[in-house]
Amino acid sequence: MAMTDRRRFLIGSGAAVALPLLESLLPRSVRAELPAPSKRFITFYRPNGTNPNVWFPTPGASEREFTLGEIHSPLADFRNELIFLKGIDMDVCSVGPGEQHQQGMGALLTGREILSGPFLGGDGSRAGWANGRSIDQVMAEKLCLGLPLRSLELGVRILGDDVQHRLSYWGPDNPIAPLEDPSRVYARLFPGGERVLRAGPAQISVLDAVMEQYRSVRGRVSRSDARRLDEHFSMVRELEQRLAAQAAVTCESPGAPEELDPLDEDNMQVVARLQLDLLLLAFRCDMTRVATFMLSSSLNHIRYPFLESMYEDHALSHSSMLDDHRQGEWVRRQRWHMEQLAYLLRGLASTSEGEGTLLDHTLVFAGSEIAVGQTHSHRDMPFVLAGRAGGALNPGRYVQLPSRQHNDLLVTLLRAMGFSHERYGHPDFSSGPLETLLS
Amino acid sequence: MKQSFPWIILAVVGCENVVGAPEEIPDWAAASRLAPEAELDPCAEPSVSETAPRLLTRYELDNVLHDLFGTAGSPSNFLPGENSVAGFVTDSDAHRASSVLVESMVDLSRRVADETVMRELSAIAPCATPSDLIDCGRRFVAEQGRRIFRRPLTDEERAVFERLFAQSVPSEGYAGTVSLVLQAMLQSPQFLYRLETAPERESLDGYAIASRMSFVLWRSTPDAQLLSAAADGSLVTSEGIRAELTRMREDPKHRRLYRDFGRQWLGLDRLEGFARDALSDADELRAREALEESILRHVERGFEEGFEAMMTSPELALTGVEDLYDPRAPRAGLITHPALLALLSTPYGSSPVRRGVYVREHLFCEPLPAPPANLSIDPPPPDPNATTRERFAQHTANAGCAACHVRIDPIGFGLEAYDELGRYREWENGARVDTTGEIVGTEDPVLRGEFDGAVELASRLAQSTQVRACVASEFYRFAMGGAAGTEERCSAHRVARALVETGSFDAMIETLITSDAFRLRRSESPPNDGDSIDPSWQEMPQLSVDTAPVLSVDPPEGGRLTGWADDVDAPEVPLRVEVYAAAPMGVGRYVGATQTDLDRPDAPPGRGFELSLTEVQRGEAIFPVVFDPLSGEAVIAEEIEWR
Repeated sequence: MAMTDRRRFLIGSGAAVALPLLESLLPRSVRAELPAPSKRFITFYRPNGTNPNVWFPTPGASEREFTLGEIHSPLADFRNELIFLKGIDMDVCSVGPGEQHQQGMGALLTGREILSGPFLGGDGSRAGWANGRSIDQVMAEKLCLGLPLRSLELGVRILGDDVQHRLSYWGPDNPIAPLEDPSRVYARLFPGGERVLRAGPAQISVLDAVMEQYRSVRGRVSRSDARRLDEHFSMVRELEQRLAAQAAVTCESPGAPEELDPLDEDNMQVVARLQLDLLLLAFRCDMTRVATFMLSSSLNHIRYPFLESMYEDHALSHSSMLDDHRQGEWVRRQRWHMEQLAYLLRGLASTSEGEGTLLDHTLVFAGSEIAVGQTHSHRDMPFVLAGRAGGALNPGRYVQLPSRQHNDLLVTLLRAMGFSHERYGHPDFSSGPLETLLS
Repeated sequence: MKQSFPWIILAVVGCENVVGAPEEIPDWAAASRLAPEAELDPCAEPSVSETAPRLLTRYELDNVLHDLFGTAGSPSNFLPGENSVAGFVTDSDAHRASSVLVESMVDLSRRVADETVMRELSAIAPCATPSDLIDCGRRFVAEQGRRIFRRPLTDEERAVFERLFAQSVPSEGYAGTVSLVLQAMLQSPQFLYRLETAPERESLDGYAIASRMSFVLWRSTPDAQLLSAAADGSLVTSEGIRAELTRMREDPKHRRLYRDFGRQWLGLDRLEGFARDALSDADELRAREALEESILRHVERGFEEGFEAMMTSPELALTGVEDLYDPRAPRAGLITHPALLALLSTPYGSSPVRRGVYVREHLFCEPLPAPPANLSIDPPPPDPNATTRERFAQHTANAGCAACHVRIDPIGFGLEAYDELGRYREWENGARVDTTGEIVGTEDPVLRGEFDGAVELASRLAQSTQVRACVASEFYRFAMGGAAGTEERCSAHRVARALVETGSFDAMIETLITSDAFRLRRSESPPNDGDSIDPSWQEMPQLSVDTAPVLSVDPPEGGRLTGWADDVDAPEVPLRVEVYAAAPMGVGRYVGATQTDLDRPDAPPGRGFELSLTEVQRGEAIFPVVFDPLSGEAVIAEEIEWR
């Protein structure tokens, strides 16, 4: 792959800029000279399921004539970029140990059950990590060849580090931790305050020496230790290939974000905004094409003081569907989640790329790990797709399916992104793509 | 690729406690489902440690870079966070490489190497005769390689880095080349992982022991003197290990052990993001930092003065937040420290549940399950006319909740004299605070029974064998990178015994450092050269899913229960069967247990069982359970009417 073009984005004046203002300083276009703009994939996660009575749109006479409910009103501008889905079941969660939140987190992007492990589930069973690679990582391996970052995993108030706090998996039993501090994300995008051409011949020869040390030491450790090293070094080798194909990227830093406690409930709004700005920045600079964004984690107990909503989130999601007061409070939170999604979509849609916008070339998969907060079911999962994935999707629809498996949705997402998978995840739950979604 | 789970030996089953043989120090944290007590002589063979290669944590990486090069600050701060098991990020199975980490190490190593070369070139790679750069490079590779890899380089490794040096000098210059070689070393597996080479059940070499010692005692890399001790063979003897241990304890770096353990054991990361409605934002920030520092100092002091002081000392040194806490308030050690009490609260009130769960999980070593999904778990809403205790009383009134909460809430009630900031109170919402509590469901006579208030609770915790053994097992898990595996239980047991009998953390640490498990490692033979080195993703098999055991029970007859159980994943291991009465495990009454060891015609050999149940009434329902020996998971049989 020959990518020799030079890119340079001048962002801001170089003065120290505290981030929330960043968005106005971001580049407004992705390099237009690419022959065929590449596709991007973003997972947008929000926790603890929903109340289906208020989540799903009101259907109209045809798929295109639906009416958004109050949770989704912030997305009104993007109505024609969305596909609401009903009828997707995540039955793979009936396999293996764990309780439903854990199972749902494990399965959401992998389509696999979770393994036995160290985490105690509500039913007394011992849950571990998911037993498969997640689709974002499958996509990253191909889509991000030649880019500085393989993928970007971002979180807002994750507050934990076990199975219910992880979505993306490099492989079975090997989750990827999201970064929940914007200043850490910034340091990853701009190590040393800048991002310049990184993969000179010197860096490649360094990685060659690393690989040689690995080969040399591998013969002297036990078989099981060698397996652990093999896992590490398949990642190094992939990194080397990616860097060897890398174009010269110069993307100037807009200045580091203000230091703040990313876990403080009073900072949640600002942190969410900063993380989305950094995600948009990475995409506009073409540092990566795959990202996962987690708006807190499953089973969380957080409050939303900026919405004057002071009940614990998990308890709120459990509250009776007949309790208007509690349900109203929960709807406010979910509407705020959708405001964040709208902000992301707006950022993508306002970035021009080639003949269209970044959103035209992106597929956003928005979802939660369970369907109904009160019952924890995995039936009729609250999933929304956004963007056109380079024309692979035909949005602006409310698609009601006669009970199809989530694994088939994962196959469909892979297809939309240019992959040719027939099945994905657990073989018992995967039969083929949802053709109706693909244009 | 079947996984072994070192954590399966934790005793956890629903809400039922498991205890060891009473005359021994009960193996509280290690009541194994793998080998029933009768067969178990954990000291029949020398213990060998079983952990996988340990990837440095961010804290360790920062320490190592500081100790090697004087790198300041926290260079690892943009690396992805570790995954954890039971709060410990040192777990070798949870903390693994990810593509993000591998990629971030490229940037991290470059920043650290460039900065080091700029500051310290003449110390790291002196070169008096610039005409002979290659010779200087050779010395640099050998000397720094030994420090960075924590052992001398092999000839093959030296050649790798000398070659990189020679080929880079023309284009990068001397300083630039030194930086590149440092970058390569810092990304090498020998640096990032603590790799050990040892044939099965043989002692590790001096360098591996040096690394184990320094990573436990200093949370960092060996210094020059420790590497010399490794080189001259003194670390393969107990005297040599003791001599270095004595020296290393005197080094201020030793405090890192107490602080890192304290931070993970107490979950202090959660103090970040700590919010209390009663405080202004500025006070929140101040309290957060001061409380963390104060409790870490308390842990440090406890490690130095002993278990009793840790658990009961009334002096908590609340520097920086004296205005928030009445100095006359009764305090008794860790359990009354405001940092811990505040962590175990909600933003608007004390939480008897969080406090009780913490005590059961981290001081009794009895992990508790989350509430079942189908249970309504609305916490009682704040009520200006009721005490916290009154509001939580419904928990124990509702049978579904009570099954677990009778073990949890009454412990938390005993700490009700401290509010959501850990401030002392005698009154709440106009009512006098009731601080009576109770500990049920434990076999430890020191713990069991009613108590009044935090000071009495603290003194029981301090005296309890179960609590001491639990804390020792938490320390073992932290230090060794995972809970003790089946082949290291003898050592783990002795480490626990040291704390139980002496109350001295020094004695506990010394027992660990000189134990068999610390010096012996189980490992299989090295891989064949012919093995494929980089299995491509497609070749890597999905991990197999553990199959649940099956349990078949005959109609009861004559006071005896018979049946069979089998697990295809573990044909050699006897299965443990337990019986509960009136309700299933977790709620019901434990009435007996046995293991499969009988032959019967309708089952695989040795899979039958029989037990007599004397404590069950005729007509009462019984619920037999079989445990999966691999996952520890319980399979519960249908209800049976006893006759």
